[in-house]
Amino acid sequence: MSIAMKTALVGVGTTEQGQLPGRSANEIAAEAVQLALADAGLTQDDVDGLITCRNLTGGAGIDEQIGHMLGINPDYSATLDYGTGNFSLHLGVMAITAGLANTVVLTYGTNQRSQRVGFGRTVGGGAEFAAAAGLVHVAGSAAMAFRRHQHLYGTTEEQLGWVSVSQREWARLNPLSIFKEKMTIDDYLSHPYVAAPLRRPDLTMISDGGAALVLTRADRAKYSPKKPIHIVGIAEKTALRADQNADNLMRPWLGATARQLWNTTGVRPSEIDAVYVQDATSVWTLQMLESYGFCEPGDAGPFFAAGNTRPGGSLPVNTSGGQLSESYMWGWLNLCESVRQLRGECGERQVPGARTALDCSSHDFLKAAATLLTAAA
Amino acid sequence: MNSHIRPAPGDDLTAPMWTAMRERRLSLQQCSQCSYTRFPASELCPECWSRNADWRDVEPTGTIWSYTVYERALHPELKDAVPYTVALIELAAGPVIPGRILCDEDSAPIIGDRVTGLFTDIDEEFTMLEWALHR
Repeated sequence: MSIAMKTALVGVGTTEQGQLPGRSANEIAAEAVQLALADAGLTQDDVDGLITCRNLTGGAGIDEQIGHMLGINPDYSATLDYGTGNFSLHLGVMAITAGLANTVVLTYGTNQRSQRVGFGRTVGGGAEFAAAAGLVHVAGSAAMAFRRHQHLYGTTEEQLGWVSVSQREWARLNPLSIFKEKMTIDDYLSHPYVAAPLRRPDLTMISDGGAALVLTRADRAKYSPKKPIHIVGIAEKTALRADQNADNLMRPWLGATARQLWNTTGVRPSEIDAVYVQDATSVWTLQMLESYGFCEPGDAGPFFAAGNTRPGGSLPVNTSGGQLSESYMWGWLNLCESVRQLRGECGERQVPGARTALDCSSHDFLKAAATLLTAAA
Repeated sequence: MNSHIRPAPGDDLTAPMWTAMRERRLSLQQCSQCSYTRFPASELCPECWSRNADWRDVEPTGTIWSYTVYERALHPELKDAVPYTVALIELAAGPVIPGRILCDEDSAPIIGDRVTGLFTDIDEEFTMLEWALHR
């Protein structure tokens, strides 16, 4: 059964990003819900589904907490553990197409910056041994993945630097983004290494903020005050066997997610107007563009350096600044930006005539998801 | 010294590996049914789902898959360790394991370098493998 065009995003809500001291993660998530429902022209009485996203620490983000705070009794509710934007959205699509709900609000809120949540955790299996060896933080694993890419394909640090520089150029056009200072490629190269060959601008930040989406049945979406953005296709793959998978840091299973998406939708990479990558590190963006077929394996370095992903380029990528410059929101803000771009609401950073967007995310070295969205005629 | 994150004591599953390390042996769990070498140790073989396994000493030799140099301490317990080099090592015995490389700016590793493990006592209870380059 195809889910194509059966559901549509009709509301997005984004709170202030950065530092939101004195506020709980759940209350921030609730504010995002209010903003998204207002954007959709709906009220809490219209919501019969709730999907929330568990926080990494602190026990917040559970549907039972947020639903209680919002005072709602939706027919359907669920919480995803590490509910990166796409994974939560796909659960919403499944809930609606399965008939469990008609209108689902999805939300994520975090106060991880104010709570001083660290980023030093080890990811993947064998975590204790890895920590003992000093392999901590996603930066170390991403650095090794990039050095391997350099070894195989001759990719340079300057080529990688264009990922961050390009996204900073987009971020400077986005009022929501946290990092707006001008950054040239020379500025990038002058940053010291954190985990060589990666530098500070190759890594995301820890930030507070909230984001929410309203997803509804396509036949109801036509009454929406704003242009509905339809879900064309969804794909997911896992690599739960983790570090026992060959070349796991290169995340070869991203390619399997891409093939599933292109095969089930019949859409080709050449038809995509803007690409969104959940970018904990710049290396993820490099891996994604190759995995999804926007360039050949090994060619992402020259592709970025040629300026394709910058404002005015042939393939706009992370037009909000992404997690390297906008805010670290587990891909949720990328989905909000996709919707706003496809509606044509993005002002100076608007991609002219954008109709179809690809949103792809990953959960460390364990899972990948991709969503194809379109502004249907 | 904040140079290492110590493993938590009392994990029955991985304890034999740490005990062997203390005795200057690299011991890995091998499936009694299909001979697959499990790293990390597991209650269930990911290949054949057997619950039975033996601990087997293997040669601490391998090649570097890739590496990174931590210039900044990204964990409080590593603040005295930087800069240090960590590689993923493809063991001759099969599994890929992370480890610190004994090197300095004049002897940076190259992907594909062969390495040999040396057992280093970090404190009274904890011994870790560190890896020397074959040059």
